[in-house]
Amino acid sequence: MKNKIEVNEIKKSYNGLDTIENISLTLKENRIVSIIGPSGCGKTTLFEIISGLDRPDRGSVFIDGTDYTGRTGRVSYMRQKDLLFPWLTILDNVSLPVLLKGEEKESARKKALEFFDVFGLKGFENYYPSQLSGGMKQRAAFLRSYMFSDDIMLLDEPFGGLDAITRRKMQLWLQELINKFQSSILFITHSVDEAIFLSDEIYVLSKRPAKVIEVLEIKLKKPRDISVFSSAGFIKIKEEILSKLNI
Amino acid sequence: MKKKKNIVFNFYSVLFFIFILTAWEIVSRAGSVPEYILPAPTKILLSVFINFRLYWFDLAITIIETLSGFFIAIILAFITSVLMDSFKIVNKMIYPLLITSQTIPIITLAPLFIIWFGYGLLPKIIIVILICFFPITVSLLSGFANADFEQINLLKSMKASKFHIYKYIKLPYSLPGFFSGLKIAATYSIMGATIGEWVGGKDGIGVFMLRAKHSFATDKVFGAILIITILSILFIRLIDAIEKRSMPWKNFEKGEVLEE
Repeated sequence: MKNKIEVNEIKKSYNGLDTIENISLTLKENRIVSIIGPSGCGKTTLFEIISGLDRPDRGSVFIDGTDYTGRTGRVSYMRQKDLLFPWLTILDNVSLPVLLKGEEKESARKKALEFFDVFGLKGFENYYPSQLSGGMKQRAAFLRSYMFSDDIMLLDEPFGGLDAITRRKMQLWLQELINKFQSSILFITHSVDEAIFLSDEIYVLSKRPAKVIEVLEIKLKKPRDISVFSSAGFIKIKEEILSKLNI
Repeated sequence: MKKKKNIVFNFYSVLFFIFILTAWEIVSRAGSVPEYILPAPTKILLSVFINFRLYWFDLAITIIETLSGFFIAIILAFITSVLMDSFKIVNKMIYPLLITSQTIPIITLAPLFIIWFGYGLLPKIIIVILICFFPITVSLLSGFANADFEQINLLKSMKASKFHIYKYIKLPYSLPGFFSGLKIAATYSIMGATIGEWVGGKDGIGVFMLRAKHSFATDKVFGAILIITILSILFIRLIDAIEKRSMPWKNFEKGEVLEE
């Protein structure tokens, strides 16, 4: 399997405050890798560095074998807030990344429209974001990220703002979706359950300044359904992660 | 969606307004106040209708001054605010000047402009520009500055150019403020043009008022006031209508949210 993202020994501090002490990680093709850690431990900073919005003080980011340290425009980056533009319809929001790549408005819309069904947004093309429920807005934001880069995606707590039931639905939906598309995904979450359910691999980070304290391979059979949450294998992994997080 | 309550016109306010007009009419008709001090409302209306052709030419001049000043101010405000927003140095250079310039009552500059540019349309247009420029620029600037930083970062991560960030985030974000600025500017602009005409001019509704004043044609002075007021209201209404059309998403913001 090819390495899609390689993060090598990154260090970052803000105003003398160390945020990231030392993080290296690898995302292989078609895998979901979750990053879990105490809040405020610098996970979002890590994503900003990988997406190129910020530069590390030391270390490098390689994407598809090319050095992308401090360069934007290669991976898509979705955040907890949907960040949809209230002044654009869902269709225009979602086709915006294609438009930014220099395509004509009509062909950008056409490309986006192909995915409305799979993303559960069919029939809402001409609605404004304020008219949609939280789960739908997250799906639209997800589709927008997908339209920008379908092979590598960074998801920063994408379901963090949703209620428990919608969140569970979205987890099931996301897993189904990933089976259909061949994307490599880095996933930040606070929920240990969510991380185990969705991931092939989990990086456990320490509290600030962040470093990797454990890398776990999740070998639970895929596709997973809701029964996984109560399986013995799941609970064992969960206990292990929780004990690591408590130090 | 709930219909917005009309706070200007309700039953009681209309009733009270009619009461004032009637009282005014009676006082004036009864002859207790001379007509050159307070002509009756019906006489003012009549004078407007009879002398409409007289008003019309001067009114057109004032409208031309107002609108050209207004539009030039919008263009200048756009250029200035984009430059100030994009370049910190420009902002540092201009912002203090912009703020302190507001301590000058612009209308006091009118005599100066008359000396410099004569009695034609130009000095009035300049006054209108100066009056409109500030509220529009400031509203645009604050709109640009307050645009969601995370949304901008998102577009940047998609390799958007500066132009894209203005087009897709900063401009739409600043629209509501921009229209409030426009409405403030609109009200002041007509006033600016009229006072400019008082200070010195050959035509315009302000000049018309001066002529009426000199001949104690108080009904015509009132007529001019009425016409200027109507003009102001129409101007604001027009901006309101354009505002609604240019921000279609606002119509849904208080609507119901769909459930899955």
